[in-house]
Amino acid sequence: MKNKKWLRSVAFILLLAVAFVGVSQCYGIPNSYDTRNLAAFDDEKEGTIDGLVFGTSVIGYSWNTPAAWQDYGMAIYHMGTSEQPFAVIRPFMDYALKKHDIKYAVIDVHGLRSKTVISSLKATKVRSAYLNFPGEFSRFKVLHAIFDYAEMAFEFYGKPKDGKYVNLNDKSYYLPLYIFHSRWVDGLKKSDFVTVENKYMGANDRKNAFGVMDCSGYLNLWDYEITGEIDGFQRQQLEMLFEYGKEKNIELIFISLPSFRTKDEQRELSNLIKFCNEQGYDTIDFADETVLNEAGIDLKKDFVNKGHLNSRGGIKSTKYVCEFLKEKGYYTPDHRGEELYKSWNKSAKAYFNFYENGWKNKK
Amino acid sequence: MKEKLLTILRELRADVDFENETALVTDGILDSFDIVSLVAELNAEFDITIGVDDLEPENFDTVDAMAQLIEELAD
Amino acid sequence: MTLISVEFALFWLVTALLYFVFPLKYRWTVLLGSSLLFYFWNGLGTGYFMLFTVAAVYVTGLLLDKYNNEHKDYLKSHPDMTRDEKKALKQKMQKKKRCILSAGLVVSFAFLVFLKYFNFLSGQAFSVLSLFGVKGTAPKIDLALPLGISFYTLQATSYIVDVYRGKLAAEKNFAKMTLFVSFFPQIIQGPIGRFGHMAPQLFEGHRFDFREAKFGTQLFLWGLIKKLTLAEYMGIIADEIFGNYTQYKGLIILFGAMVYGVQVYADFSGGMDMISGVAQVFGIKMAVNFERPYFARSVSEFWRRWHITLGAWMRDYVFYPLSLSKAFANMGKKTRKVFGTYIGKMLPTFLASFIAFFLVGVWHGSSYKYVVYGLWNSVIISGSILLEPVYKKIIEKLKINTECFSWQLFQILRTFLLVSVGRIFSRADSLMISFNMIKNMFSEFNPWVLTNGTLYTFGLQPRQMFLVFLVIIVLFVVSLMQEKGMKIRESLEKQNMLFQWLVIIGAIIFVAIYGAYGDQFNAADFVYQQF
Repeated sequence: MKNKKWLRSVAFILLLAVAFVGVSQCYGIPNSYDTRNLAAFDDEKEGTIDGLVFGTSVIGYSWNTPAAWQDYGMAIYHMGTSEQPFAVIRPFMDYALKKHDIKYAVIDVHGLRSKTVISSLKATKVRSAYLNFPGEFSRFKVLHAIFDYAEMAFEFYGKPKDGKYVNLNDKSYYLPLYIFHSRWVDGLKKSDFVTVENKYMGANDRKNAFGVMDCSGYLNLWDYEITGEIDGFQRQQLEMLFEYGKEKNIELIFISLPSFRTKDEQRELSNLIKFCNEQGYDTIDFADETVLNEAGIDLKKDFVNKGHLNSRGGIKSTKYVCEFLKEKGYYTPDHRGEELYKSWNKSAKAYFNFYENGWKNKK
Repeated sequence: MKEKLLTILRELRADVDFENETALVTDGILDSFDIVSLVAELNAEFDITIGVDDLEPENFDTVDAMAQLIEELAD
Repeated sequence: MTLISVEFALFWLVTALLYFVFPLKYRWTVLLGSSLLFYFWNGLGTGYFMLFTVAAVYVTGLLLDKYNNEHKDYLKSHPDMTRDEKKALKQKMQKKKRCILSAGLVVSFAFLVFLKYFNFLSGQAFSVLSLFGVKGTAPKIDLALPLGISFYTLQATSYIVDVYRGKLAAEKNFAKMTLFVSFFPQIIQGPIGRFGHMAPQLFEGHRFDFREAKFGTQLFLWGLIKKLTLAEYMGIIADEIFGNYTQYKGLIILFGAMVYGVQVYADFSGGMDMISGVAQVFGIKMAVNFERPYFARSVSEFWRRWHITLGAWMRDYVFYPLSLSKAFANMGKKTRKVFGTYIGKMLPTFLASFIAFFLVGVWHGSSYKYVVYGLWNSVIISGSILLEPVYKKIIEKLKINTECFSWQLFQILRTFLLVSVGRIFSRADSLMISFNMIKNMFSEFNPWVLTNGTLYTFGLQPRQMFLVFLVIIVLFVVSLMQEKGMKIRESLEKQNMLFQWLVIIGAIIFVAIYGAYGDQFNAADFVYQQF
C-alpha cells in the first residue's frame, strides 16, 4: 500500500475520532444543579483553592460557597453531587491536588449511611458522578474507584435485585454515548452544546431554594444513644480515607449536616460522626439541638423539606462550619481582595443578588 | 434446427426478443417455470433428455447456447 | 458475540490482521480458525453437530467422486462405445451414486429434521393418537438448535448434490471442507453459498486490497444503518401490533403487516450487507441474497429477488429435479388428457413448485403457520400463471396501457400488498391467530387511523417515526439508484475526498446517535438468525 493511502487512512480516523468525541460530548449526561460545580472545577486558577467539601445532596443544600467567601474569604470548593458515592472522594482529591495545595477537606457522612451507600450505586448516580468529573483522563480512575467500592458494598450489604444498580461488567461506562445517544428522542438543549459555567459556585439555586417547611416537630426523633458503633463496611471506608489523608497531608473534618431522617438513620449518622471523633478527627453533628441553636437554624423557617435546608438555612450552616474551621485553626486565610480571586467576588455578588431577589419575590 | 427452436421459444414467450438477448436466465427474463416448460418442449421436439445437470444458466442464456446443448445431447 | 457488538468488531479486525500477515498459501487456515472459534464461542456445545454434518458431506463427496472418476476413466478407456452403451453405463453409475447421495442426504438432514421438527411432530402424533384414546405426554427433546443449522445444512447438502451431478470434484481436505460449511460471517444466517462459487475464493489467499477493504467496511456500515436505524424501530411497531392483535382492526393490521415487511427486509438484507462486507475485506464475494425485492412486479419475481440463495437452492435441488423427473413427466401426460393442454401441461410444474414452497415454509420453522406461509406464495404464483389468459382478456377489454409507469407502479404495489398479507402468516404467533388477524383486517374500514395520531401509539415517538420515515426514503432512493444500474460505492469513490469523508463519517455518527442499541434496546438478534 502506498504511503499516501496510509496517511489518508490515519487522517480519516483522526477526523472520525474528533467527530465522535464532539458528538459524545453533546450526548453526555445532562447537567443539573449538583453537577455543574464539579464539571466546572477546571475553571479555577492554579493554586487558589485551600479546602474542599464533599457529600451528597445534603451538601448541595447546606453548603454555600459564596457565603464562605463573602464573609470569611475562605477559598473552599464544593465537590458534592447528589447521592455521591463515597468512593469518589479520594480520586477527586487526587485530581484537585494536581493544581491546588489542598490543606483540608470537609466531608459530610450522609453518603456512608448503609441505605445511601446502596442507593448511591444506582447507575444514574454513578454516571453523574464520574461523567461530570472534570479530568477527561482521570475519569476512569474515578470509575474504577466506584467499581471497587460497589464490589465491596454489594458483597457486604447484598446487591438489590432490580437492574437500576451499577453493573460492573457494563462496558458502556467507557463509552457513554452507548447509553446517552438515545437522548436524541427528547431533543438536545443549548446546555448540551456549550460548556457549563459554574456561576454560583455550586450554591443552592434550585427551584426550591426558597421553599419553606416547618420541621420543628421532628426534633424528638433525636432521643437515642450515640455509641460510635458502625458496621464493618463503614469502618473500612473511613479507615481508607484516614489513611489517604495522612499520606497526602490533607486534614479531614467530618460533619453531618442538618436533616431529619428516620430515627435509625439519624442514629447511624451520629454514630459515624462519633466514630470519627474518637479517631481524633474534628467533627460537627448538626443532629444536636445545641449545635442547631448555635448556628441559629430556625426549624420553622430554614428547612425546605425533611432532608434538606433551604437557601437561608444553608447559609447559616455554612457560616457555622466556617467559624468552626477558624476556631480549630485550619488554614483559612482571607483571600478577599486578591487579584486571583476576582471571579469569586463576581460569583458571590451574583449569588447574593439572586438570593435577595428570590426571597423578596417570595413575599 | 435453430428455426425450430426459435418457434418453440416464441410460442412460449411472445414478449421476448430471443435473438438479441444474451442473458435470458441470468437476467431473469426466463423464470424457472419457463425453463421447465421449455425443457419439456425441447425433449419432445428433438427427442433428447435434458437432465437437471444441464440446467445451467450458461446453457440457456442465449439461443445459440440452447442450440449447442441440443446438438450435444442429440449425439 | 453477534454481528453487532464490540467483540465482533475486534474479532473481525484481529482475523483480518492475522489473515494478511500469514503467507498467502495458508491464509485460509486463519479463516478456518476464526470460523471455528466464532462458532464454538456462540454455539457452545452444539458445534459438534456442525462438524458431524461436515464429516457426512465430506465422506459422501469422496465416495461420489470415486464413481465419477470410475465413470470418466471407463469412458476414456473405451472410446468407441455406442450411444446406448454410454447411456447404460451412465444409468448403472447413477444407480450406485444415488444410493450414496441418498445416504448422505439422509444423514445431513436427519439432524435438522430431528432437532428442528421433532417436538412438533411428536406433539402432533400424540394429539392424533389421543383421538384414538391413547393417553400420554408427547416426548420432547430439550436441545438448543445449533446456530445456523438451517443454513449450513442446505449449504453442505448442495455440495454433495453438485458432486453427484458431476459439476464438482470432491474436496479432499477435510479442513477446507469445514471452512466451506462454517465460514464465520455466513454461518448464522447465510447467504447459502455454493461450493463452486465459494471454495476457490475461500481457499485461495487474497492480497490486501485497500479498495476491497474500504468497500467492505462501507457495505457493513450500510447494513448497520438498515439494521439499527430501521429494522429495530419497525420491529417495535410490529411487535406491538402482532403482540396485541386482538386490539387492532382494519387498516392497522395491514399497516402492521407492511411494517413487518419493511422490518424483515431491513433486518435480513442489512444482515447480508454486513456479512458480505465482512467477507469483502478478505477479498471474498458472497452470493447475492437480495435484489431490491419490493420493486418486484409479481410474486414470482419477488421470490427471485428475495432471499435469492434459498430460492435458488429450492429451484436447483427441489423444483427442477422434481419437474424434470420421469414420474412428473408421466403425470403430465395423464393430466393433459383430463384438463386439456394448457392446464394439464402446467399441473406437474405447479405441484413441483407447491412442494418447493412447502419446504420453504417449513424451513422457517415447525409450525402450521409456516406451511400456510409457503403455500400462500405458491398458490398466488400458480394462480397468476393459470389466470394469465383471463387477465390478458380483461386488460384488452378495458384498454389498459401496460407499457407505462403507472401500470408498473400498480404491479409493484399489488405485489407488496400480496406479500405483506402473506407475511401475517409467518409473523403471527399461530395459524389461528393469523386467520383471525386477516379476518379483523376486513372487519372494519378505518382509514382515519392514518391521520388521527394512532400511528404514534405503537411505541415510537414522533421523532422516532420521523427518523424511520427518513431512513425509508434514503433506502428507497438508494434502491432506485441501484435499480437504474448505479453502483453507489463506486460513484462515491469518484467524488472529492472531503465529500467522501463527510458521507462516511456522517453515516457512522448517524448510526451512533440514531441507532436502536444500548440500554433501552437489545439490538442483538436478527430475525433470520432463528430460522
